[in-house]
Amino acid sequence: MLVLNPQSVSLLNSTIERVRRVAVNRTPERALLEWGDTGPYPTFADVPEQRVEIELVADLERGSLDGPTPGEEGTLEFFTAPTAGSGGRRRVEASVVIASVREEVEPGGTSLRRIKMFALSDNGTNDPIDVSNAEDGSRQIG
Amino acid sequence: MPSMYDGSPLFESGPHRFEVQRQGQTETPPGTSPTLQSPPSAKWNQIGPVQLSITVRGRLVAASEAALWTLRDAMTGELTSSPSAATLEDGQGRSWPSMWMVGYRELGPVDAGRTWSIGYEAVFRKVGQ
Repeated sequence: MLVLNPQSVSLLNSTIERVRRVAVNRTPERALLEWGDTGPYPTFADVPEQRVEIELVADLERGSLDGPTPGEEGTLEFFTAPTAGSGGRRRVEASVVIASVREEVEPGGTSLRRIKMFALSDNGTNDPIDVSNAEDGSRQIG
Repeated sequence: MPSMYDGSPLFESGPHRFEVQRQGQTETPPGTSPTLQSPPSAKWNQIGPVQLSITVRGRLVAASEAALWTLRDAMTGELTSSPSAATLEDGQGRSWPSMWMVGYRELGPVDAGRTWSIGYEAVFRKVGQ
């Protein structure tokens, strides 16, 4: 999932302005691949342990002394819509732990803050990324 | 044809492999006593053929935790409820009659991904050999 210029981004109860993008990356922490006695190709694969990492990149208008620190836990929430209007607006929410915070200056002089987070499931079964209809709250597949 | 033990397709829920263990004589090395009463021997002593042992390693795979428990219980049920030897079949046309299931162990915790699964190892030995 990649959301460009999301609206109303909130992280750990603080609003983050000028967010360029939020990327949700899903990678296998442990994968199973198994073969039988009948030939050279695997007959079973599964990914019982997965890692969901979120990277948020935002412009910094000026230097900042504030910001989250690694290990902090809270909620990331933002809204996205297919058009500039509110039609089809979706709310994305995740319980996260901050993994790293990096501040960089691009060649053109633009300052960036890059925040990486681990997304957590509430019970190990539910997807850590909750996508819902922003108007009626109905759950949607992310 | 599925691989089976005692007519039950215990292994068919997931991938599995058959491995025939070492065959041949059991030996005692020179300098050891083949029996408690005898003096140390200067030669290798053959004390009889090794029992045929076959190990099946695989993964039990189910759609739910309860269904996986059914498969696990079927495995352990063979350990305790099968008083007589049965035929082990590898599903490729090879079968070994008069085999006893003597051991079953699970290789790690249950994996809950798209499926519920667990790795296992089951050991079978020839009776009366």
